[in-house]
Amino acid sequence: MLARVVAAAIVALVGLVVAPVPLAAAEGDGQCTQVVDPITNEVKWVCENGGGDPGGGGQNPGGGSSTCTYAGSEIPCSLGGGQWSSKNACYVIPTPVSPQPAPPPGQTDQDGDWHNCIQPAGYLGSNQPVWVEAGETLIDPAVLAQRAIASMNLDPITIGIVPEPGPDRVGLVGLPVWMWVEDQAPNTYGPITASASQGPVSVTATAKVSSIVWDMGDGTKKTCTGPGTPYEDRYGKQDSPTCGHRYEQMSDDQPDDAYQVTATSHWVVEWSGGGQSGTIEFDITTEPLPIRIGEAQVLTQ
Amino acid sequence: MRKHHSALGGVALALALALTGCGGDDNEPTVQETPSQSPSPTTPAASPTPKTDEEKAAAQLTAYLDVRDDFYRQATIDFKRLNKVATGSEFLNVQQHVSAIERSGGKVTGEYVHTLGEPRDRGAYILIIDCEDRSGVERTNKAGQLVPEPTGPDGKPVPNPLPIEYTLVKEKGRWLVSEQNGLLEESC
Repeated sequence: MLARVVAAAIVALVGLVVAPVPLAAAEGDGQCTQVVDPITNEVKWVCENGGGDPGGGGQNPGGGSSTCTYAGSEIPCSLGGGQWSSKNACYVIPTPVSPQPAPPPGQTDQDGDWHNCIQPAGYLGSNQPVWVEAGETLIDPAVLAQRAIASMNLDPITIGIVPEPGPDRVGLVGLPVWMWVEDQAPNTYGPITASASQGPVSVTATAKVSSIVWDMGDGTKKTCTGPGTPYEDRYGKQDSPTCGHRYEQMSDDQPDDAYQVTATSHWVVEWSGGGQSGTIEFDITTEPLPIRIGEAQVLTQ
Repeated sequence: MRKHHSALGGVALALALALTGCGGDDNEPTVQETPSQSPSPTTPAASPTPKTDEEKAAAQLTAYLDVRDDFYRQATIDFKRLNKVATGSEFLNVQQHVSAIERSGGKVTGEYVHTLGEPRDRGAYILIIDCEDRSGVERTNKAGQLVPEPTGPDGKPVPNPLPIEYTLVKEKGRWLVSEQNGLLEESC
């Protein structure tokens, strides 16, 4: 149940408040909760799928998850546009309250603003706004983590494969195919570290590829947890010790007479900062690489 | 099926009084897991003290809806009351809802009518569907104008009445409302 709390995507709609944070599995698909527009007072229902795909699964990093704790329990770090503030032990809504009450003793109007808070379960105090000092950034560290990832300029791997692609290159049915990461670099395989900051909040993220899914184009998907082993002539007809495949049929019935091979790198980014930590996962896929496969008897005719 | 109007007083308050055995100092309709004192002789006898988990959960949901609807109308939160009936995301939901009402400068007036379905015990939690009728509720913006009917993800008005499924979990011996799920494709 707790894992679902953390994994649940918190929908941050501009100008709306939202709190789809399931604590127990409801029956059926999806979760629909009310949101209220703080400008118009209109009610809208927002639904999210029950399953979800926290990893994103696409070319771009997903939202991932971040971890905040309160009273020993994990809680979402952002909620309806509000950010968890360990200092105030509540979700601070960025928009200052209006009209502003008088500043606290020793402070002036120029020193900060009063903000409303969303209090965590169990709160027993009064419903009072909190004082946020000017320059105290209300930013979600997970957003900074995304910026750090963007600065890494991550790329898909360069495919290393034997048999090699090319119009005059043909592999044989039944013979070993070797796959590996060619020209391995920090921005194609990791590890790579970058930081991003705003105001006093700084986040450091380290990204690395945890696995590569090789789509061989013949319906086979081979998952390799390492970069693979580059082929050398001395290996002859040996299987790759780390990442290989054997085609069972020729590719002459495929578009352009070739299997279209892709490699999808699964990136895992661990980040921390701003009193929080989290993991963001996403995939990056190469362009298809055509590999032609024939049979020896055909090739010798 | 249990039906009640959400304003303080009437059936809901009678039920709350029957459950707690006393009026309390702040009209807090709360169901204790442990046996409470006997109802006073003046307590209406129509609402029996809940005995099973399902009955206790239903009574707590009724109490929660009363509290929530009060907060909507008053545009303020009384955490002492909220703590006794809600937890988890619903604890946050109601605050966000009230905060948005307050920030918008609008108002919520009138009464929701809640009709609870049969509780479904799922072991770790209990599910109850409330058929919420908002016919008697008026929602206005800062200018005092009525705001449009609530809409679904498709932008179309959601049905009225609307079935809303609530999840209740047991914390420290007390059933608390932990989340809501609007069943937008279903009808009451």
